[in-house]
Amino acid sequence: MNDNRQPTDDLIRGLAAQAGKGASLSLRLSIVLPVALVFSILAATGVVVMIAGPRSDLMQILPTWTFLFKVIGMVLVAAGGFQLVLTVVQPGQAPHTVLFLAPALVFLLIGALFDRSGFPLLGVHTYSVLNCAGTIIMASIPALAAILSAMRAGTPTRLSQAGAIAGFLAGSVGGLAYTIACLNDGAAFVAVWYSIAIACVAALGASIGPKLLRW
Amino acid sequence: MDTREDRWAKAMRAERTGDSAAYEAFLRAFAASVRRIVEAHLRYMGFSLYEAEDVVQEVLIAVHSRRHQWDTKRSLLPWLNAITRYKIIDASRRLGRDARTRVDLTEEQWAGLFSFEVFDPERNPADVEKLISALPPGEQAAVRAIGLEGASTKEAAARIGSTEGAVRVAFHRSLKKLMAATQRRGPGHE
Repeated sequence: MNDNRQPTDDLIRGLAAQAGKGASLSLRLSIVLPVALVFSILAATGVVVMIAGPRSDLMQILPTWTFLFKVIGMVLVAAGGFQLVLTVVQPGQAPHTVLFLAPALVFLLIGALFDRSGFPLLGVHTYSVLNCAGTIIMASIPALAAILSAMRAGTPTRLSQAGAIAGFLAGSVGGLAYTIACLNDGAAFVAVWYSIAIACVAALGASIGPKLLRW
Repeated sequence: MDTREDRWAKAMRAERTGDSAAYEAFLRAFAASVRRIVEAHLRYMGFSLYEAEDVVQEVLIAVHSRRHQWDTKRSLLPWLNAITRYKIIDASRRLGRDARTRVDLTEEQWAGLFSFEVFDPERNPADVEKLISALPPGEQAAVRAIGLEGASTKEAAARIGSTEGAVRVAFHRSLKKLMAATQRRGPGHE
């Protein structure tokens, strides 16, 4: 089958002739991903404002611990998710999932365990859970689209995993945006239901990742 | 500086300064190593080795078009391995799909294939010859040995110098092509 290799030899000569040419793509990736993250946060906030609107007493609760708990928790989750995204678009790098998500997990767990606010786990209204999870998921959709398309500038080689990670980041951005509308100030509520909403978006990402991230 | 990692990483860095010779040497060595992996994988999966060079070329193009994404501070081999693995899995899926459509012929079609009028070597040898010569060399050899000379896949494999699985795949694939070709010509063709 040696004559089969002739085209490969020709190809190699052609590729070698391009040595030193072509712009640096790694530079592009380091711009595209942060831009997608900023866009995601803005888009998710826009969706939350349109669907739910910021809560009326937002200004008063801004400095309170219950509000800060939600914001810090979601920022930590999103930061871990962003690190995972940065890793998964580079071939041959195993994302340190536990390491990246440990700060967020510890923070949310401690908040939930020491939750003395007395807010019920199922929320202040009968529809709280559905409202919360639904709005977070809706807010995550444009974020998921932006993150997935930015990831195409990189080289993900495990597409379901990459899609799940994209969904995870999009979900946490959605959760972060929803903090301005969320009426449930119980830490346990946030830890449980926000996480479930994020998991739903991650599952969505895992299911569409293989189709959208192919190269 | 004599591990593969060091040699290849050095060549990949040299590529960025326009060193074609170093880059070409790397691509050759890398292609040889990818070829071994691809051939072993195709053999294990029971696919024909005729596809191997296509997959090798896909891997080379993937690495070449993304070569600037490699972070020189990181190891090169895991980066190359991940891309190679991805392209091999991609190719296996494609070949698997081909294999499914390949066995779409019914038992009657298999059995009746060589009694097809246009296809009868006794009645129309020139015609059959013309159809067969249009096939890729590997498939030609398989269809001549099994279809025309009546050899078993084992005998054919020994004669062609290939594996039984590869011959079977090549034979089935060529039959499918011949069927399609005879149907294009229409049943009334003399």
